Amino acid sequence: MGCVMQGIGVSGGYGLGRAFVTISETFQKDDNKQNNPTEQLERFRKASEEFVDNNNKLYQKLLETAGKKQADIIKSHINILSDPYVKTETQKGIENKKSAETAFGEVCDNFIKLFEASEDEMTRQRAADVKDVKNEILSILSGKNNADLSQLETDSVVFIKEITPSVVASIDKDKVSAIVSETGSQTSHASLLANAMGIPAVLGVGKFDENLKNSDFVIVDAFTGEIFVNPENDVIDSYKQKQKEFCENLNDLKKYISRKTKTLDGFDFELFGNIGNADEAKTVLENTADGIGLFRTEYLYMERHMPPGEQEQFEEYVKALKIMDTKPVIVRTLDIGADKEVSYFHQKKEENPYMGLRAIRYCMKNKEIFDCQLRALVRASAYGNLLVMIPLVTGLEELEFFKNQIKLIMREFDEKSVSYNPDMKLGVMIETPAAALTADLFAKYADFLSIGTNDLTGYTLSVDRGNADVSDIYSVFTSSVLREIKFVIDCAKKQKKSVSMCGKAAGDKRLIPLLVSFGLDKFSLSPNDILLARKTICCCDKKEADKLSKTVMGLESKEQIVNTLDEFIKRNKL
Amino acid sequence: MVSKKLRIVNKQGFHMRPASDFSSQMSKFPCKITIKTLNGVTDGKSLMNLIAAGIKYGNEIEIICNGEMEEQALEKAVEMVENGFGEE
Repeated sequence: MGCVMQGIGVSGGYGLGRAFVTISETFQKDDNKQNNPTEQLERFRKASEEFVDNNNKLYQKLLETAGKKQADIIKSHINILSDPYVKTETQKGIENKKSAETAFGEVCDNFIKLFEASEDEMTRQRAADVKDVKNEILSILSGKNNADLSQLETDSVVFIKEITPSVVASIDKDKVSAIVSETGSQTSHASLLANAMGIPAVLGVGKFDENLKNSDFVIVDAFTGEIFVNPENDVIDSYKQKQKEFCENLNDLKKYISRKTKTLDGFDFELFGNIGNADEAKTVLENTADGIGLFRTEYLYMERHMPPGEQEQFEEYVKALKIMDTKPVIVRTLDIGADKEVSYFHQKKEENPYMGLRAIRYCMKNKEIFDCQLRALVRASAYGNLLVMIPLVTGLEELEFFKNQIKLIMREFDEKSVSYNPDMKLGVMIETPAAALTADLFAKYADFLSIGTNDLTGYTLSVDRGNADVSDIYSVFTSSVLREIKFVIDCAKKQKKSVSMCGKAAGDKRLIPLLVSFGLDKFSLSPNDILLARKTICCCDKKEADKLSKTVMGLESKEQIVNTLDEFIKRNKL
Repeated sequence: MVSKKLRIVNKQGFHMRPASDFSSQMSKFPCKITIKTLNGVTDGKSLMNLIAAGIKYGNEIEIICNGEMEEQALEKAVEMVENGFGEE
């Protein structure tokens, strides 16, 4: 039997064990019966108490694991329930002989409707919080989750309608090998909760298969989101092997903490981390990286009403610089447009957003927004090793504009005696074929280059990775993209400029030997991929890699390239 | 009864966190606390109604406190709004 359910894997890892299915029931609309108000009030009071208790515990847990901002979401849920209006309205309903479920549910539904109808995006998002609170109170009232979960046996795979704070609070981590929920997505609170638990989790599988029973043997793949129920022996064996390797790899990788990133024959490379806010710099340091290779600043602009002011940005950049001490921090200026929308910028709907007003193009047309960010950056440059680069260049004009803006700000700061680093390095991201083909020019005039493989691959092959009909064309292992990468690195070397690569591909085991051979200086990766990349480079021999790249660059098809790289990895046990 | 008119100075207005802080602080006072906006009146102790009122940056509001400890309640309310709830 193959995969029987498919959801979204959110926390990685594998879980094997016996299914423990909690019945997914929506609460009963009872109210033909007459309820006893005193009883119902008592039920509501008890459920509220339990809710506050669970959420307070979870708040503390999230403060430690996920940070204050995430923890505050939970605090606000407590405040929603403590709202005196919500309380009195629920009481009124109960006094009218409604059940606690109906009374509270109706009050919540009114607010959900009200918030969802709002013109304001932030208010609309609050509807989700009210839904969370409502669902959790109803689930406590139903008495399902709590009593059951304390009776789990070891190696249980818990199937539950929804992961709520009370589930997290009541689950025994030593007994649960994985958790599967009907609802939730990558961005939902449930995903945050799953990560806080540190248990392999698959969310959003939809209604559970009716045939799923307690004690069924299940395998949960929290990478791919696949769930296998009563699989054949060979599937079980292969997953046991995968799980073993996963654990071994985790332990093996720990050996690479604090090691130098050096090939077997002694060539040094630098590993950098990608971040979206200053706090993530800590994870980069924990993985002993040499710096930040990509600080994606657009995340500072998202999920709010107004762009962040100069002071706020300044503080965020300085925070990252201070965490990294003297290590370099490469900040990429605002990269919005295409798939990244910011509501208050009122970007026009475009026929073809990937070819439209995005990234540096947007900033050149909206000078006050760009200026504000550059001022914050120039000021921050006095506090550490800051480098700044602009995304999506296609010609030298964009670099010229950028350099001029910086010059103007520095001149103004001189007059006002504001301190900054006059030697701040300015770079460009090479992520269009136009930039790749003219990398010799950019290498001449920019202080450093950074190859953005995601967009470069998409634009070179003219393919939208998100479009399932053509996404198979998307691959960095094509002659076209590899030639571009090699050319960019060669151009940077010729001008003695530093060149880095950010994006998924920089951490791809198959690409790393080629990049070692091409002479890429810096690999910039998501913090979790740093140790794996270090291991790959440390196990690589540059002479062997040079031979490989000579072969690969002479190959003619994608299939040949991929096969040759796979073979190399196998042979060299990378 | 005491009251005061003032403007919202923090850029994000009465969103979740400020409304959450404000309503829980106001709940500590016994008096009735009402926020008057262009669109109507809202219970200052109710987080949900504050959010539903959609009070934004630059909006003028009137805070009305009526009952026991009304002076202290108004003072605290004004202080919170004028400080922009500790935000920009």
